[in-house]
Amino acid sequence: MYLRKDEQVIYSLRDLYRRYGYHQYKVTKFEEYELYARNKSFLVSDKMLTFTDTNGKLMALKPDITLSIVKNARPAPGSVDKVYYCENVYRAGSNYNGFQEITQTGLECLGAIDDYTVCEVMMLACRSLAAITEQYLLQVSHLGFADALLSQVDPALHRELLDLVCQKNPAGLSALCATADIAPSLTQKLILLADTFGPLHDLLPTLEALADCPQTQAAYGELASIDQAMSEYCLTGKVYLDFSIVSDLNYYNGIVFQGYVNGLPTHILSGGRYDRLAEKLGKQIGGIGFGVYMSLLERFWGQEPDEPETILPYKNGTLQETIRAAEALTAQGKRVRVTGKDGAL
Amino acid sequence: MINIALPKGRLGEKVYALFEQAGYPCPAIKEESRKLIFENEAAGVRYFWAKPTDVPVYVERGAADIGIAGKDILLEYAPDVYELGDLGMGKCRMCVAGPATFRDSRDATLRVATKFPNIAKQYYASVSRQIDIIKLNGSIELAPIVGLSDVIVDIVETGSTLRENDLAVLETIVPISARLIANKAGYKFKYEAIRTMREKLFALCEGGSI
Repeated sequence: MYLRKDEQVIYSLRDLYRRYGYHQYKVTKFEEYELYARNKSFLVSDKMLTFTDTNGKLMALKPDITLSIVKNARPAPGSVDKVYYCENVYRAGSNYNGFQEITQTGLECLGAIDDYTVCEVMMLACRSLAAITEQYLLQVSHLGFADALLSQVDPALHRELLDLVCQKNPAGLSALCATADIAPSLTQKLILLADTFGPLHDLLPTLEALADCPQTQAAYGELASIDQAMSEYCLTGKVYLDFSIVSDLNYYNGIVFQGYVNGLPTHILSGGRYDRLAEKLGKQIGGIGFGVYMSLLERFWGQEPDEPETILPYKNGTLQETIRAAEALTAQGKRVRVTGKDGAL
Repeated sequence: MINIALPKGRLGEKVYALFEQAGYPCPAIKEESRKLIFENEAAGVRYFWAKPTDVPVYVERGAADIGIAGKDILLEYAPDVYELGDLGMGKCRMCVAGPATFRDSRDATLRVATKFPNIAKQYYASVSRQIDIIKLNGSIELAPIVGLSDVIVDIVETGSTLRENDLAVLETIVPISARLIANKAGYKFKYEAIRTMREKLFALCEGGSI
């Protein structure tokens, strides 16, 4: 069977997730707008394609899958629901491109999330990237570090400081901290947070020195256990520590991560722990998951070479002869294209 | 190989001289030619000139791994890139300017002419002032003189053009200088090479900071 490489990746991801006990989750194409309006900062973009349903309710074409899955999750106490999906979402691109249909595949775990589940999700994120190319890396961060440092400064500055960490902008951090009268020792820690990048395993000793309060010590412990698990999965060299992944602290907590493949200018995979989102949706459960933006793969392999077609001119024979010739060629596995009676393709 | 987008013009030439001094020369770039890309395989660099406002676009989209862009352009277009340091070059200020005698009475919407509508919008939102933005592409100083706008938001280097036209700086919004920016994916996959380059550049950069 002929499948494009991006289609092959979708099939191999589905197979991978099924092997670890994830069930497919199908969603409708639209949802009540209110769900997204209440959780706009969880979304990549707050612009949505909306329409009024027959009963007068304002609906939106899904800009996100996670919200719908979390909203409907009802895991049995003490257990974890594991689902995967492959769906289209509708998001606003840049001003020039307007709304776009984006194919996204991914998985979500909801319920009593334990350290095994977290490590399994990280492993599946790595193997999802490996299904695309072996030249990949998964960068991981723990929001506990940023949270602990930011708790020492005026909340009005949080957004601006997080943006500068996200830009890896040491000069900007120094300038803002100086203006806001932030202690030099805290400024140095924020700069270190922005600047940190390297294999998780190699950076753990540096990180241990940064963990100087119960919150950061717990975060360090979680990262150390991920490193240990990645070693078990033979993925040690693929996981990098980078605190510049900044997610909304109102929704995410704990581990957050992004996946990159060499050859694409942006991350293709994004995920994290989102217990706070579940809480906002009235669920006393934990959640972790990730999405892979399959649409980014359209150009990843360039133009794929296609098997040449055999041209069969209809005018060379009768209808019956042409049908037989075409059937014989396709039965041999060849591609055949019958031209029009006047010889036009 | 690190792909580097340089801004065309005086700043770009100064920046290239810095790269050359830091050990990343590419003599072909100085020759008179119609070539667009200049490569020095031994030094592991490939340069190209781009319009200053386009540099962040090349970097964000991964056509260049790193680039040099003014802070004004980064603030206006907010590209999704890393900002790895301030080169301390091309220093100027983003200012509100207008007739020296102008006083904002706040009794009417303020008409603001600018090439930087996002910066102007953010600044006036921060001071809760309702404005009418008039987007212009050049000769911004002309706008208040001919009554097109009350004030302008623009880059001021020495202030001589303003003075010659009886205009003055009314507020400084933010200091501007050239920044080293990097594509987020390129930074990760070429980490060692980009970090080394950054260290070498900033070791030579007076007034710069990382």
